Amino acid sequence: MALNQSAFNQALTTPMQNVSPTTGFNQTAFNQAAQTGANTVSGMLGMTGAGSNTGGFFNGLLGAGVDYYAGQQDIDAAAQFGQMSNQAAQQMGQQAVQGTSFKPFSVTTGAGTTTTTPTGGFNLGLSPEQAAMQAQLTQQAGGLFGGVTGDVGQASQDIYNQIRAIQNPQEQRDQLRLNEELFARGRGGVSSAQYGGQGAEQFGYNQAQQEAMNQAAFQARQMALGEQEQQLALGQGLLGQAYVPQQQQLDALTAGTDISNIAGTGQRLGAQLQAELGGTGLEALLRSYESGLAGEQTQRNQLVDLLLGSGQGANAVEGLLGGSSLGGSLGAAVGVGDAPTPQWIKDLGNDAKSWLGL
Amino acid sequence: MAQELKHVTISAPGFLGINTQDSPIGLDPAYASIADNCVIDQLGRVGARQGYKEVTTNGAAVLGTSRGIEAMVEFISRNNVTTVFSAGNLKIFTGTTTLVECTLPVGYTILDNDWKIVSFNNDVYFFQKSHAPLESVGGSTTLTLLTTSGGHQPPQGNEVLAAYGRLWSCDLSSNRYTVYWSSLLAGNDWHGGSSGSVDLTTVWPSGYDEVVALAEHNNFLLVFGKKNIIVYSGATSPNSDLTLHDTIEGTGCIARDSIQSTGTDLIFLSSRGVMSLGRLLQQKSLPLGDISKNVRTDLLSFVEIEAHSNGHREAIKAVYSPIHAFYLLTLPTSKIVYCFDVRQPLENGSFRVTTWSSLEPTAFTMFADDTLYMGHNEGIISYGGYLDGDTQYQLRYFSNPNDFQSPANLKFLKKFNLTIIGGQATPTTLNWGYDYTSTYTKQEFTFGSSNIAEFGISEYNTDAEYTASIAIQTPKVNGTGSGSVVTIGIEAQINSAAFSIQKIDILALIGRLI
Repeated sequence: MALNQSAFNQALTTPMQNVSPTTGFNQTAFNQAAQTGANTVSGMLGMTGAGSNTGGFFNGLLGAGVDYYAGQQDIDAAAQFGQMSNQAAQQMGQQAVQGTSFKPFSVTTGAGTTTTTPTGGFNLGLSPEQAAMQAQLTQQAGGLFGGVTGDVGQASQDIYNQIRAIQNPQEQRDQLRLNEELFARGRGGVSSAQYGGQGAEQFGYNQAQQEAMNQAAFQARQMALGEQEQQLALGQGLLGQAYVPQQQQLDALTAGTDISNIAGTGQRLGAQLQAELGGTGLEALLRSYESGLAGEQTQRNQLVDLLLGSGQGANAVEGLLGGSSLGGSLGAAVGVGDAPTPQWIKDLGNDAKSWLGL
Repeated sequence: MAQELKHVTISAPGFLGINTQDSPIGLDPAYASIADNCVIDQLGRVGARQGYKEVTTNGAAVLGTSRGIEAMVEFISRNNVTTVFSAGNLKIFTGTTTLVECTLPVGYTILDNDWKIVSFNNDVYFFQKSHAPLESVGGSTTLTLLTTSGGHQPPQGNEVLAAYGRLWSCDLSSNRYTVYWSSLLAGNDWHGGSSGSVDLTTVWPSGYDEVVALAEHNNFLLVFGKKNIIVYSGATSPNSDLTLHDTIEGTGCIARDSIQSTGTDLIFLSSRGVMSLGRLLQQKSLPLGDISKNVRTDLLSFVEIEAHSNGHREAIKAVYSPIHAFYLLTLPTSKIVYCFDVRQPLENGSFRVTTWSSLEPTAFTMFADDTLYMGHNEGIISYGGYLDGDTQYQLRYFSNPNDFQSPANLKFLKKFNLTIIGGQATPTTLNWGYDYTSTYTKQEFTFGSSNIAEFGISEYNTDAEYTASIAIQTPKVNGTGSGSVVTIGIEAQINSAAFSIQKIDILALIGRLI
């Protein structure tokens, strides 16, 4: 049997075309390669050999039958070899997948334990204390955020009332002092249109009081807004603090991931090396099988020549089965005619299997 | 042997004025017990007051049977047009010779004649309690109501004062404790601009009092209560600077129109008599010596009559005449006028005081020409001459009882030598009596008339007189009777001539001890 090497290589290197879903082997390309080889062999064992005659015809017919048989054995051997190669490649691929698959791991810190999942996820598991603290901080932050979105007017009013409560005693003292001064000066009962129905001093006092009230209102507004900003900042701070343990868990996970990568890298490298070595072995096996096939082809050709003769013209050498002796015991020895296929031919095939390791 | 006559001379009798307060015994004979229709003349003698001349010719027609003109003011506009406003018989008039009734706002009714009329900023304002104030713009005879501001009515005060560039008012029927002031230079704006008020309820030093009058004096605003006086400074800017300067407790003003300024003093009638605020300011709250202390009891009794008769004392009027140097205080109900000579106070701080009767003025005002005009039931009269209209009036002088420094001896009046300045054709009666009697022995005599020398007239071949410039009468009267103390009096019917008592010489025989 003759194998089209280029077509076989193409079949191996272009697995994506007409790939069997079960074997991963490009059967079409392989058959095409085999068919082309058969034709080529057929051509090589053509009936148009020089010096043919009646005996030659028979000789030629025998040669054709031998060639056919030999070719059929090659095809079978190649198909079996291909299946075996496919299975070996799949086995190596599975081994590579198993060798490079993610191995879940967990990281444990004082804040809790983080576990990864085979699908690439992770679970940040906080300790109960940390979870409680996180809940507390989150709740407090929520309360502060509630203040941020609270009624500014009411907050301003509350602050204003507090400021006025602080100012009122002094204002009362000032009013009493003013009253004393006014009545001592006989101006307690002064009412003036110029000063809105009161005396200049009372007007000035009331004006100052109103200015203080306005200032207090403005200050209260500013303070309310400031407090909201502070609440926002505090809330943000508390909220940020609430997630610090998780952040630390993530940081620990990152560190754990780096450490796990050390082990994973060796694993992946081993798997890769294993796959590469497997591929190399498979390739070497294919090459050895190819070499075996070529040697067997040569051997069969020599055997055919021995049996059927070779050469033409002056160089023609008569084979054991050539001429008159055609159909003798030798013919039976090689299985010509009705004789069964000799064992030694069968052994060639078996040897080929063993060569391929099938 | 005949006893020696004791010669007693009373020079310028009564020139210290009336003194009815001190004990008559031992009193200086220069004090008089009665000096009616008298003034202290320029030479310090008791002389006859001047009479009056009727100015108004249609008084009877416009005044009817009313008390006459009870308020009067002379207004001189910026255009130098003089308009005299007067009020009486529930009407307001202009003019002096002919009283022309002013046009009042439609529906305006006058219920009383207690107007206080002031001139301010080329306008004339009329204030009276329970009456909407009136305004004469530029001296117009058509009176208008003051403008209202935002529904606010100007104060219907009984008192109004023009001072410090604004009007001041007080004494409303419903509010007697607040002083109001108008906006600056706007006497008709009482609720806008720089107008204002001050409630004095907490200022009175002796609790509650009622504001009666206002005055400006010595750059102070004086608020007169009935029993207290409040002295304010800073009235130039009352809204911001009006400040209590002093309070005077126990002395107030009981008659709005009794307040008169003499330039140095402010004279007013209080419940203690006639007071001088200038002295009050100097003496602060020290005990006061009123300028009427020599006639205090009599004066206050007459004042009390005024209060009881009218229910208020707006009928009491006063005037200060710098020309005549007297302060007149008329008490219409009593038909008496007290005349205080303001030239020189006496040692006890009082002023020399005389009384006027039969004149019965109801209003006073000094015109710009220094003529004293008075309100009268006949209209407007002017002070001058020596007849009350066409009528003679009587001068009465009576001394206090005199013991001639011999209180324990009988006195026998032998002869009176009188020296009278003026008094031409004046029927005169000399009165004398003993021992506090009011029944006098009288001796009547009449001075002869003489022509007074004329100045600047040719003496040659003319009727020019060669007598003295003023008549001097020296009648001599023989006395009768006896007693321990002697009272002397002179009654003279003033008849178009001045009459001053220069001296009374008395020749008396000092008898045995009683």
